Amino acid sequence: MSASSTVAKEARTVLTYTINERVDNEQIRAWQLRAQIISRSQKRLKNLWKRVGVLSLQGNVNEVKKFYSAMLKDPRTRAKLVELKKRKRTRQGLMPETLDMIILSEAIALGRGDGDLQFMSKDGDFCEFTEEIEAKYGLRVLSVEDALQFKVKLERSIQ
Amino acid sequence: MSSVQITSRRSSIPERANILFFILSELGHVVTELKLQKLVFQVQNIAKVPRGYRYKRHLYGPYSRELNIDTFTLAKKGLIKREEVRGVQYPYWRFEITPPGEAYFKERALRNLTRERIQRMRKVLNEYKGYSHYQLAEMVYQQWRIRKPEALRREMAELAKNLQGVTSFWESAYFPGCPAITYFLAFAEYLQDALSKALSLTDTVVKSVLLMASKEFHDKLMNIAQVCSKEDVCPLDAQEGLCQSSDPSLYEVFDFIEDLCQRNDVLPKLLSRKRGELVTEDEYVRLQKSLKTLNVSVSS
Repeated sequence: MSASSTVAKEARTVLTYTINERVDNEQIRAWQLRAQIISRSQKRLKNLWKRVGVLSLQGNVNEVKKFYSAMLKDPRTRAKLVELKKRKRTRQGLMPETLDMIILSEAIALGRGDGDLQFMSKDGDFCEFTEEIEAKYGLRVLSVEDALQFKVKLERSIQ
Repeated sequence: MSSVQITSRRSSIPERANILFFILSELGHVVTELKLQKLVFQVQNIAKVPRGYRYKRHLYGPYSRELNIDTFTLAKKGLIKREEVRGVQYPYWRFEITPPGEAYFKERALRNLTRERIQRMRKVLNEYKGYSHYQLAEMVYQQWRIRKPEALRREMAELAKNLQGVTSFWESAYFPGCPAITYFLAFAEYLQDALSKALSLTDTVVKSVLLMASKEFHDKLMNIAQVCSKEDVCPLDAQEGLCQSSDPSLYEVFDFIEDLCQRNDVLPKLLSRKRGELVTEDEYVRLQKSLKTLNVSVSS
């Protein structure tokens, strides 16, 4: 199992965001405590990353932008992107965030060297378009929920 | 005595001795303990070298017992030469680095000093090396206001107010996804606590060093704030843009302050502070519940 350095970077950002958001919701300042929680969590995340390979990959993000632009023109896929925008509060337009498109481009670049690569995510920008992505790039997208269900089935069959 | 024993003994040389080795390596020798004490003090505290010597106020201003002990120990190990010289009126000490000391410094100690830190240390040393021991002692008294506890107290109170001002800016610029701003605010909060605790200290040397370092920290935070208020730029990029070649970064200054506070029993380091000092019990309980779903622990 591998991840890209872009994914690792995004995970760090999301971790900070999530911790801060939760503390903000409780209307607590406590900046030093936040720094402590973020620092400990980042350290734990770093240790978890050691269990997988983190690769520096180079993808073609412009190719992915064209892919999603083409989906904006198709009414069926456009409807999915409109729905995703409603669910993702921070989304500005209908296109996915640039960082997400970079991550997909890196997976595509990695997949071109390996015929049997699966891309695991729980992001709707990928999971809602599994057929389109597989048809265009030969990259199979596996949602985290599907992977977890598969794991449970496997464990039961072993027992 | 076997070479294995010598090697293991040398590995017990404290990191703070790097400052002493650096000064003796650069100057060749230093005459009088007074001058050595003050040169180490200046280099350590102006160049912001963390994990250095603890200084307290003594007869002739800042004095470090640790430095005195290190000169004795390192002379015994043959890494420096400590010679008593008969002066015209009084005997005095002469300190010189030996060839094994020079070799140790280049092979081991230099590895722990970055190029930027060495540049800063050299700059400070060059500024003060030409003064006599009495001139240097007097200069240190004046520069650090060691004889003026009331002036120090007033400046600390003033700085605490100014810190509040720059904290307000960063709170208004804050957004949850930015780790830099979160850390800036954490550092500022830590500093407020440190200044508050330091007001009750009796030793003016520790107070003065903390005050000067805190002022530098405040100024750096202000400079980054000025850039960010005019341009839409990441605070880390702003800091890198402002940081001149060997100038200590905001993080280095904070590292120095934290280390100073810990070694002088003002405050533990930020990441080691107890939660009871940072939040109320009620806040802690609410946070525990909120973060539990993330599998994140609040307590250390």
